[in-house]
Amino acid sequence: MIKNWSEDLVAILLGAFILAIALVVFLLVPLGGVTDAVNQASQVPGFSADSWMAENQFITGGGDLLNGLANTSRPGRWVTNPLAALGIDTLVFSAAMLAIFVVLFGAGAVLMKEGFAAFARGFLVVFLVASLAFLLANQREFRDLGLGYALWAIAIGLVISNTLGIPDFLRPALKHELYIKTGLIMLGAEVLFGKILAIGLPGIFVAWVVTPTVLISTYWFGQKILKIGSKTLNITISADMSVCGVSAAIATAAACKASKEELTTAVGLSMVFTSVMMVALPAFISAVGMPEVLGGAWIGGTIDATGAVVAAGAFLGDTALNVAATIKMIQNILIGVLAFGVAVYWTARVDRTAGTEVSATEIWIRFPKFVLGFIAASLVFSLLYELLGENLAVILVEGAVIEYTSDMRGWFFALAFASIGLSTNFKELSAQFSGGKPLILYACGQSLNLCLTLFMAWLMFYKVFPGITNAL
Amino acid sequence: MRFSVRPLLMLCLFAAVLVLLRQGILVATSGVPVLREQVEIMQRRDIDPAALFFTDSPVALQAIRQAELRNADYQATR
Repeated sequence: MIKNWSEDLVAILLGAFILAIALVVFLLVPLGGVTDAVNQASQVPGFSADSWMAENQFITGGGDLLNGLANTSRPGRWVTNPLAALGIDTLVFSAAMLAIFVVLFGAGAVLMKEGFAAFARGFLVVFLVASLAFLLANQREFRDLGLGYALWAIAIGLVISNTLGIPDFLRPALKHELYIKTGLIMLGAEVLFGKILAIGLPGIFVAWVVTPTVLISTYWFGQKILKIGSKTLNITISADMSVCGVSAAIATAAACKASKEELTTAVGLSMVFTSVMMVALPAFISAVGMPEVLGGAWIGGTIDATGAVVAAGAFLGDTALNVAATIKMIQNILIGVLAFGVAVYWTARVDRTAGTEVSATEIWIRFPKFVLGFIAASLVFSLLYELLGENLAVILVEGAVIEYTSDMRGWFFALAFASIGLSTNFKELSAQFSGGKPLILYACGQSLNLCLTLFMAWLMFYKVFPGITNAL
Repeated sequence: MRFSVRPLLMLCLFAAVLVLLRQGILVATSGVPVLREQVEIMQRRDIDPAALFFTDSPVALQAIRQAELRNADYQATR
């Protein structure tokens, strides 16, 4: 029996609990019926899992309720009147979601020997800030510019904490690391290793050779040339810029134990650059008449956020969209390796005292255990995906289980960023930008990324594997 | 409890910034053809540019499946 539950163990427990419920409700319960129906339907020529999902209501009862909770509890879309986003169903599901989170994270607080009541009192404010962030992210113009809930949660939290101040009763609920780590366990389930071969070797070379090269070069540049004071800030920005934006920043910051101000800096930089690149890169590609496959691969390998990659790819055409989204997905999968690698490197090399050897036991003690939960979730879901076969995996794993867990993960990240905003001081945050070094690091790293990705995409798609390019 | 005007002013300023930001985006979108075209595509295809991960975007999932199918067809015919 575990006597002292750490934040990592609580995150693993909560994440595993939600994933287990999702597996039972969205996979085991409908498995028999869906298998028979899909086997029958797939005999017809032209069968596609996407069309089947659109035509068949295969999640009912408990699954419907859970989907409503995870999805409808967020405010909907709106243009000028925010009240239009808050229907009765949203308010009811929101209240239910609040109660569920209080019970889940309150139980976590109890396991960590903290008071349930103290946590519950403050959590309402964190939840309200997260809900407000979803509300602003769903405003049409803000949504079109890619200003997502992460940015709004931090901004609203910052405004509240730096104007009204934070009362003491709120502090026990400001557990950004617990929310992030729980969200990362859920994210692990979405990292499906079997998908790295989606478009064969060109995808691997563009996403898994260029990306680590840019990451390591940018980190080296930050340490040796820019001489950035904090290694954790350096690696968080480098990972955020080279891998896939906010999600990579979250995973890396948690793995190397970066401060909340450092994570906020990385997220802010990523969002600003992404908004600009989402518009500028496809416009440039169109202007110079670059082929769609090359343009798509370039966009997929360089623009940070998946959503912005899809938007920029769609601007060029369907082929560019398909290639861009696939390259970005292959890059997304790198998050698992990245979190594990950074955690090992930090534990074994960066955090040790100079000139001393670190024993294996000590590495184990210092290692962030949630990373193991993240990798385990990824391996289990990757295996499950392969075992189910293509159609069932697309319908039940992607279309049902992950559809639900990704909504829940969105809530956890929103709570985390709300907590970060509520506990961050403007002065501490602005100190991160001293000398403009983070900005220079991001700009230089992204420039290298643009050059290397374009070269590798051209080499792989047009010189080494032109057959795949023609097929796409 | 002492009443302070500063927090109230800051909150009003935040609200004003939001309104100005929205107006700025509207002006930029209507004035810059590239931006307008891109926004139209996003709205027509229901693309959320803020999606963090590929599993957050139904459009991305469909696009990936298209690419996978085309690659699988190509590999099968080789």
